[in-house]
Amino acid sequence: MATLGEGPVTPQEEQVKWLQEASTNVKRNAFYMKRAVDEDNMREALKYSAGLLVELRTSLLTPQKYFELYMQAFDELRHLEAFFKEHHTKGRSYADLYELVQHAGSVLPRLYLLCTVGSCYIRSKEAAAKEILKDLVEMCKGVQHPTRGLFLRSYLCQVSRGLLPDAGSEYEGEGGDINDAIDFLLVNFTEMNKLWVRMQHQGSQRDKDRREKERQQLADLVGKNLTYLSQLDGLDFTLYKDVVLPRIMEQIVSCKDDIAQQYLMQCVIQGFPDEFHLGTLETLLGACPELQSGVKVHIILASLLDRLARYAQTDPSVVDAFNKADAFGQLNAAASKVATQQAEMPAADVAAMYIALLGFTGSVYPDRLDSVDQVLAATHAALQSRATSRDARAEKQLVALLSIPLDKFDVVTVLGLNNYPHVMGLLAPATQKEMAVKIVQVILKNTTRVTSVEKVDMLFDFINPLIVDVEGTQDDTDEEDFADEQSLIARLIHQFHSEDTDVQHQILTAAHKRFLKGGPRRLKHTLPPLAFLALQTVQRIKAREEAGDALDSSCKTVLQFTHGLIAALAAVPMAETALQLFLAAAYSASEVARLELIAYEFFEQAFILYEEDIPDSRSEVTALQSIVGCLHRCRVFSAESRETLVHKATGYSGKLLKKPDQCRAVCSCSHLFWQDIPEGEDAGSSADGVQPPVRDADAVMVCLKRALKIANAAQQQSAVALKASDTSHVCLFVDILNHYLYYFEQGNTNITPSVLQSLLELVSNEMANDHCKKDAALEAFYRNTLKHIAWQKKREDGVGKLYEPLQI
Amino acid sequence: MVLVLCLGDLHVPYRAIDLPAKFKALLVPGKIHHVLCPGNLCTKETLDYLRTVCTDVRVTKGDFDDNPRFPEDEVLKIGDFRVGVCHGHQVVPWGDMEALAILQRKLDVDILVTGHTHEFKACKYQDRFMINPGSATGAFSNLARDVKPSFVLMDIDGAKATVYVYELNNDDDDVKVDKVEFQLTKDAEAL
Repeated sequence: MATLGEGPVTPQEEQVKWLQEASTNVKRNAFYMKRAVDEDNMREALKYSAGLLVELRTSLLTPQKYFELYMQAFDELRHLEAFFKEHHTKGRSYADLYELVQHAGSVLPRLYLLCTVGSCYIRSKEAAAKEILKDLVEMCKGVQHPTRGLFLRSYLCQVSRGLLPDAGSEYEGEGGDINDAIDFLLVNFTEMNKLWVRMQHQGSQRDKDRREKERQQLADLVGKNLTYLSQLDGLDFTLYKDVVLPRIMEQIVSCKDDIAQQYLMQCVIQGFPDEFHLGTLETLLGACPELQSGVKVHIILASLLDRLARYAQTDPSVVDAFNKADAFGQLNAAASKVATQQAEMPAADVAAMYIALLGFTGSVYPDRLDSVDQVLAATHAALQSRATSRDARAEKQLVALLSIPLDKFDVVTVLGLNNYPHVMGLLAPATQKEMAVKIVQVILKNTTRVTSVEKVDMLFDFINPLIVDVEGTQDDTDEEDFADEQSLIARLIHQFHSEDTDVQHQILTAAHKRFLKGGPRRLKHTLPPLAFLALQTVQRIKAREEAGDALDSSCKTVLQFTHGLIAALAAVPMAETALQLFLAAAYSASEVARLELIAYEFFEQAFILYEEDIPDSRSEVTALQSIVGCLHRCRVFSAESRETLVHKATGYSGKLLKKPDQCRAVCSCSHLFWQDIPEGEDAGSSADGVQPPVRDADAVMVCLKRALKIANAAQQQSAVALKASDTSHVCLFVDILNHYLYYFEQGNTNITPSVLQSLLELVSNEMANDHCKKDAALEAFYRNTLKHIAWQKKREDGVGKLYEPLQI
Repeated sequence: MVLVLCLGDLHVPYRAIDLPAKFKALLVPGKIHHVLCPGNLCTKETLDYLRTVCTDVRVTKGDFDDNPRFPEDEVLKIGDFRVGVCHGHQVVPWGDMEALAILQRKLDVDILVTGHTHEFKACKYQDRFMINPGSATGAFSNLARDVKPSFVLMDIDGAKATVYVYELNNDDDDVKVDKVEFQLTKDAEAL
């Protein structure tokens, strides 16, 4: 309402002004009322109290402001109440006063005064509580303005609190019984709800939003009746079931009002005890489909389910009671009915409803997967007709729904449920992928093992959007996200595990088949872990073979399978990783499976990659280091094949780009002729399929001399380049010296103290060079080497003796 | 007092899912001063994780690392110690103490941290010390059977290093801790 002529005034300012005016009037009348009380003038007191109550007739104020005014009047009426009591002690009967206040001119003040006297009247027990209450609750019908009526009835409710003839109350007996108490509250509730609902239909459509907001503010006044009902000591289950609930529900359903239904259903669920709900599920759930289409039934159901779930956790016997009442069946049926009858209900809300049901199932029946499946089936049935894949909110809810059982049960078992794929199928491709990521993450988090081919295949069906390109998903993925996803899959592979190695081999094969469809971009990530898993399987098969188990998949077949994997990886191309994998496989073939031919083939493949596909010199150095380190340990090779492999490796050493790399590689290669003698084995012994350790002192010497030659060449190279300050070749000499010492200690008879002595002299001469002295790192290396000799000389065992002739 | 975490050969995701949850719970951010990783992380994700534990993370290149920025070896001074890190696949024979000692002399370090064998080792060599923290994820390796996840925590106080070895028993998910002490002897210079 705009105030003309006074400039623009906002509605808020208007409200403040009106409240202020009314409040001043209340205060003024209250002042005179109190003065009349002091003068013991009942007539005047009633006149002014009616005067202050008249202010409550305003229809200008919003509920919030009206409430402030109401509270003010409420406080003032306490003075009047005290005055009534005083008069009563002086001998005036309440019946008389009850008569007297009815002379007030207008209806609203009259009813407030009646309620005030009425409460005193009941307390004095001069009349039966039930009579007064009945009278008051009926008379209040005289006010039909929603806000005014609601506050008046709220006042009645407030002042009669504690005065009801509840069981065990002092007003029980002559004053009535529990039925009267219930009846009073139910009538008041019904009337208040009618007033509250009527509010919705007043005023213009334009003000609908404001009106709904105001109604929300008034909700608690109506709800208070239900709270008081639930607090009655005399309210037992039978009364609740037969009297209270049917009347409440009747009112809720018949009022056909969205706000009231939403609020009151929640009130009932929150207000009354758990066991009451369990006993009246049918009534409660039966009402749900009857509610208005604008009511968010899923929220109502969710809070009911939540309460019941918490109830079930308090006591195991409760679960039995649930079973007896077929709580789950009833809830599931109710949800379906709601979904069918409320065709307008948004898909997201339907999903939210089933989330609540699933949460309930999970906490009440933690081991009942069949219930989960039933809920999924119901979800699918309810959502099939609602297009979810274009509804972002619904998609989000569905993802949440599908995630619940993953966290609570064994992931793979959940995926095996009949209806899980159906529900997942409702999702849009991009969301399905999101869900796939989630599934993998949960498996990894719980370290769930996937133990059979069927399960692996099923899992792959679920995570297919991560395994292959699916239309509608690949466009929005950048390279880094893609790598992260594939890294998840790579980690997932380690969860494929069967105790039975035959099954394990089948799993590997099945996974490989799936991965091949993903293209090289994915193979780069998925093949290496698969290859390692295969090699691990070889180790396990060997252990079982040694234990004498009869197996379908031998080390050989799995190694051949691994060969295919690595070859595919090399074709990606990923030469360096493939080379490392070929070496790892070669090592498995040699040291685990003892299969010479296969080990040889793996080395050959590694060599081919080395020769053809290693991109730069640094990578060559690294690859060669791995080749030599691996070959050194392999003991399956006959002299002939070993010679071929060693010859190739040493050949590569000499062909490296830089002299220092060549020199060090040749030093490393010397070890290819000098294998360790494992503890408990004699030199020259050989077990089944194992060749005796190679200990070729002469060949070692050839290598070391070649290394020296290369170091010399490096020295000349830097001399030619006039780089006098270059000390790298001296470092090589110290390196070689250390290798001499190594073999010296190892008992290589070609290295005599005199050979060492001359090498020591050579190095010492080189070190005398000023440039070398300035090279701190080189100095330290040399000094440490001499210190090592001194240390070994001091030893009192054979090594000490060996070093004795050596002079430093 | 400086806390140094040594862990390596994680091989995520090629050979292992992740660090064991028990280890992650032990590695509280903000307590550790240096992380030394001899190599084979292998993903950036793992490196990022280590950086949440401590900002100073040194990684050397393992045979399965493809990060070109990782050096072959690295030396740093912690307390009175010179500490060297190197993966160790470059040293033939693999895991051989005498061969690693050559590298130790060359890097001129008191403590040498290497990996590759997936077998935990912490021992004195002459007046120096060698550590192989094993595989922090218990990653599969042909070189060792039934690898147990392990890592090493060094507490360096001046010339004294207390080496704690954490090993996870896969069967009962229990972490076992062992302690080795190492004192730097200065008079070794006099030899």
